[in-house]
Amino acid sequence: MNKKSFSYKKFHKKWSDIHKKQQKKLLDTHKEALTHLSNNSKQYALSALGGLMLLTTPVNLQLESGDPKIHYEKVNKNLFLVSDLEALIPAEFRYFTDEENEKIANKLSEFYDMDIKYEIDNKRLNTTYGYIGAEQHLMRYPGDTEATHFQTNEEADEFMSSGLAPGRGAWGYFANSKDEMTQEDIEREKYYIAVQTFLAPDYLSRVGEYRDFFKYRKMLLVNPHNGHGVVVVVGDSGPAQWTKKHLGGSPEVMSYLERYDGRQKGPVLYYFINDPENKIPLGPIE
Amino acid sequence: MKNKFYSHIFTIEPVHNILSSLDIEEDEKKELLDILQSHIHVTVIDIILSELDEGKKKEFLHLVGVKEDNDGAWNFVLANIEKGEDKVKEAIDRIVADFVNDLEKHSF
Repeated sequence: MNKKSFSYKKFHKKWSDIHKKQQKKLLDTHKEALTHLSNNSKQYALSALGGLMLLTTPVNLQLESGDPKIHYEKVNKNLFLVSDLEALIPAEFRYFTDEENEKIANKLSEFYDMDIKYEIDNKRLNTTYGYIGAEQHLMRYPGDTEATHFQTNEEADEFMSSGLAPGRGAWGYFANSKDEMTQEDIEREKYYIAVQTFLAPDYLSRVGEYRDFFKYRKMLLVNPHNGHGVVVVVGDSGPAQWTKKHLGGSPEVMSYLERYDGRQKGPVLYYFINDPENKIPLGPIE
Repeated sequence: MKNKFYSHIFTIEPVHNILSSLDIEEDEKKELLDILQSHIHVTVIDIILSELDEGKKKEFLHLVGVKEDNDGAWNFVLANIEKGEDKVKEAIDRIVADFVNDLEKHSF
């Protein structure tokens, strides 16, 4: 029997969109009851998987191997964050007002259980919401090369193609030599962002003060469209204003956030983490 | 997909029939069925929750999500929602019909 041709992609997109809209409606309309279940599901999330997973599982999300309980909780909670942020972020891209920043920082503090700020000691960036572009890896010590940069073959396979920037970051090398490089130095390079420090309010009259403040300043970076959050440091200054981007992310950061450069570039939230005792680890928040 | 508490009141046989007449891969068929079943599930839960107060919503979600008690959940619907079966069935039938019509529109 001859089979009919079929516009699979078009059909798939149409019904995926219909489904996502319905998921959002459900989460918005019955948020209190669903949040109650989610917050109380730790002891029985495995059994919840069968009954309610479809409510919050995005279409196309193939369940991977690993602990389904963790997977379920992560997907579930991230979608609540996405839904909450959508109500706080303006539909058209623009910088936030202080009032909006306050509300979003509070929401992120509550969700991630961290002290999130848009301003610390009267110091802030030009924006907390901006388009992110892809940066290259940074040399961590004199003589660091693509051949020495990665700790495993898997990392090299995934991230080497992003290349190593020819110059150093705004703060110089992360370590004086390979022997002196610590785990913290490795993670700072792996999870760094470049922000437009030079556009901070009153930057020119406060260069020294700002430089010390921004150097390896811990920040929370969130993709508001999927709820992925990662703890990063300010590892470089940039990008230039003419690029029409507001910040840059290391290859590892971009990969985790599922943000891409070029025409597909998208916005992220980036706020300071007040962590004076340096207790919050860098990297993706699982 | 595992049986749901409402699985006994509908069939997606028409969807299977039309999918088997289309020139698409098996994994694509499975993907479309997954979307349909997820969409039905989300819609059914939404319809039921919309008929309940906050306390009853939590009670129902506990039955479905925690106890996975299909009989208990269905009896809960029948006991707490006027014409509950009709409302759920009507919503599912409409989704399945829309899906089938749309499959036909996208085939040539």
